[in-house]
Parts: sequence; structure tokens; C-alpha cells
Amino acid sequence: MTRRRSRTHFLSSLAATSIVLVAGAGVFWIKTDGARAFTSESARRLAITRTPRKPPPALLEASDRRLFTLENFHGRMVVVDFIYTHCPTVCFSLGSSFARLQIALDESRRDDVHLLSVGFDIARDTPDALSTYGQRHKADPKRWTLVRVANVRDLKPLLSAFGIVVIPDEYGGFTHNAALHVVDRQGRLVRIFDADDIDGVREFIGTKRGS
Amino acid sequence: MKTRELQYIVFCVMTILVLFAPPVRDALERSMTTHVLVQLAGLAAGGWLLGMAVREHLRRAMLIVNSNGVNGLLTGLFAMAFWMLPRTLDESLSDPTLEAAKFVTVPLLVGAPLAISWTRLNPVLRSLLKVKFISMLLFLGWLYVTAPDRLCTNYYQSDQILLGHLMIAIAGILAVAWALPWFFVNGTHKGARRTRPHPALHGSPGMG
Repeated sequence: MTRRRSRTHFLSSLAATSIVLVAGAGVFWIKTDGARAFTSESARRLAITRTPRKPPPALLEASDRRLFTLENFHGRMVVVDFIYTHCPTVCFSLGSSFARLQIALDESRRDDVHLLSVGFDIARDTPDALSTYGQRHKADPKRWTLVRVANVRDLKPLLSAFGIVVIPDEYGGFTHNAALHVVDRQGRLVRIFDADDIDGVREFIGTKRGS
Repeated sequence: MKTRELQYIVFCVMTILVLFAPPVRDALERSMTTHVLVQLAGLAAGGWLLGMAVREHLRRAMLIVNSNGVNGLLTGLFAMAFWMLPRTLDESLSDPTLEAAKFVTVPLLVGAPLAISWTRLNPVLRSLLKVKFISMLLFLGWLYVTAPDRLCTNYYQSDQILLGHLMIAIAGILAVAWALPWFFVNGTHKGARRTRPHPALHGSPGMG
């Protein structure tokens, strides 16, 4: 009798084990996109790769004070990065990434690709500050435009559409996820690369030639 | 229900309520270190108290679905792994549903099942789990300290490194605390005799 009961208990526990295993592994699998995205940064990139999306329209003010929107680039691919001009570290590496990308694009004579740096520090990223930043990185105005949003209220929707999280840091600057964002000819954000992954961007743009 | 068990439940509810109170919650979530080491650990501890309170009352049910404690252990480990993902930590800050789920699932799926199952587990497995827990803390601590990038978009790298160092320190403290008693045991297996013989060792089909 006890033996039969313990056998039942063993079997019911075994059944429960399989339920726990399936449910646990299932939830973990779903939450990590099939063990591919363990951080929110990789999740953001994966989501964009799967379903490209159009950022909300935002009026942008360039370093030469001209106003335009992302729509103005239609027909060209745009590589976008987010910066703040007072940034001594990551943005500097983003700046030099863009400078290298600019040279690479010049060499391949690709006129259908534009570079766009968006300053998110509204107060300090004035057209003049953006212009200085551009000169520091030898930005060619025909190739590389530096902007900030013209209306402060457009900033949050724009950042969140790109998946950029900006947190003020201990030194009066900001910490943010730095990356290179590729917007295709239809104005959709299609791919996100590491801040220093110039080759990745070049390769991706290369495969899209004429498409 | 015994007074002791009632006390556990009161402590459990109080812990969870305090951690859930918006000022405390905001303060703890501002830093990755306190988010993990105070909020998540506190919620798990609250759940553990709940588990200790209901352990005896659930004995019969546990005999059926958790006879050797392994299922409760697995539940706890899965839920712990889920909340150890940098991604869930990040997303709980922006997603209210996930945030609410944290306050429910960490006590109920991490703390409580582990407390309920702990006494049912084979003593050898228990020791193994302690070692695994220490090595997990060491590994995560090392990962947080050495990772070239931030793992959470909402937290500073300096915060991540601090958390890593604290995890390594905690692993060291636990290793000493758990190992120390062994130096005071004499050779006659005294400790082993005190533990209750495990139900699975009696008449399970494999041993029949």
C-alpha cells in the first residue's frame, strides 16, 4: 500500500517536473527571444532587424540653422547617431566612427548615403556647438549633417523610437546607449550596429546598393 | 496556525509592502546595486518567510507534486534566472506590468518554493546548491566587473562594477560562513544523523 502510494507520488512529482521544466524553459526562451537577447540593448537591435519601423516625424535644426525633417532624406540611406557635444568619451568615439565612415563612403563614392548626428542635450547642443563638433571631426556638410530637435517635445518620442535611453551621469554629462542606426530609403530604421562597427555598416549598405 | 507561522506571514507582508512603497521602490531602483541586492533579495527573503509559514500546511500537497523537493527547487531556479537577466531588470523600469509581476513572482516563485522544498531536498543536493550559489555569485560578479559595456541601459557602468564587487564579497562571506561549521564537527558524522532521512530514500520505485 505505502509502496503503491509512494510510486504514485513519484509519478505525480515526475509529471510536475516536466510541467515546471517546460513552463520554465518556455518563459525563459520567449523572454530572451530564443536565447538571442539577454540585454535590452540586444533586444532593441533584434526587434528592429525583425520589424523595421519609421521614427515619428520631428522637425530638426541643423548646425547651419536650416530646418528639415528625416523625410527630406527619402531616397537616400541615412546613418544616424545620437550625441551630446559636451561628451568627452563615447560621443567622441561615435564622432570618430562617423569620421571614418565618411572617409569610407567618399572612397566608394556613395552619394546615396548620408550621415546624421542628433544632439540630445537641447540646452547645450546649440547650432554653434554642433558646428564646432562637426569641425572637430572634419564633417563634410554635403555628407554629414549635425542637428538637434527644433521642438523639445519631439525629443522623447524620437529617442524612444530609436530605443535610446539617456541618463544624466555624475559628472554633468550623460550616459546613453551608443550605436550606429541605419535608416533605409523608405525612412525606416532597419538595422543597429555597435558604435565602432564601421565594417558592419559598410557591408550592410553595400548589400543595399541600388535597392 | 502557530504563532511563529503568523509572525513569518506578518514579516513577509511587511517586507513586500515596504519594498513596494513608491518612495522606497524609486530609491532602490535608482541604482543597479540596490535594485538587485536589496529589492530583489528582499522580495525573495519575504517569499522565503511565507514558505516557512506554510511549509507544514502544504505537506500533503507537496508529497504529491514535490515529493523530493526537486520541483520547488526547479521553479525557484527558473524564476531566479528570469530575474537575473539584465533585460528584465531594465524592462521592469519602463514596463508597469513587468514591474508588478516582479513583486508577485519573486516572493511566490523564488523565495516560497525554495523554502518549502529546502527541507525536502537530499542533504547532499543541499550542499551542492550552496556551492552552486556561491559559484554563481562569483561568476556574475566577475562578469559585471569585467564586462566592457553596460549590461543595463538604465544604469551606469560604475554601478555595475560596484554590484559585481559586492557579489564577489558576498560569495566570500557565504563561503566562509557555510564552511566554518565543518571545522567544528568531529569525525563521527554527528551532523548527518541529525537530518531527517529523506522520503525519496524509502520505497521509491528505483530503490524498491
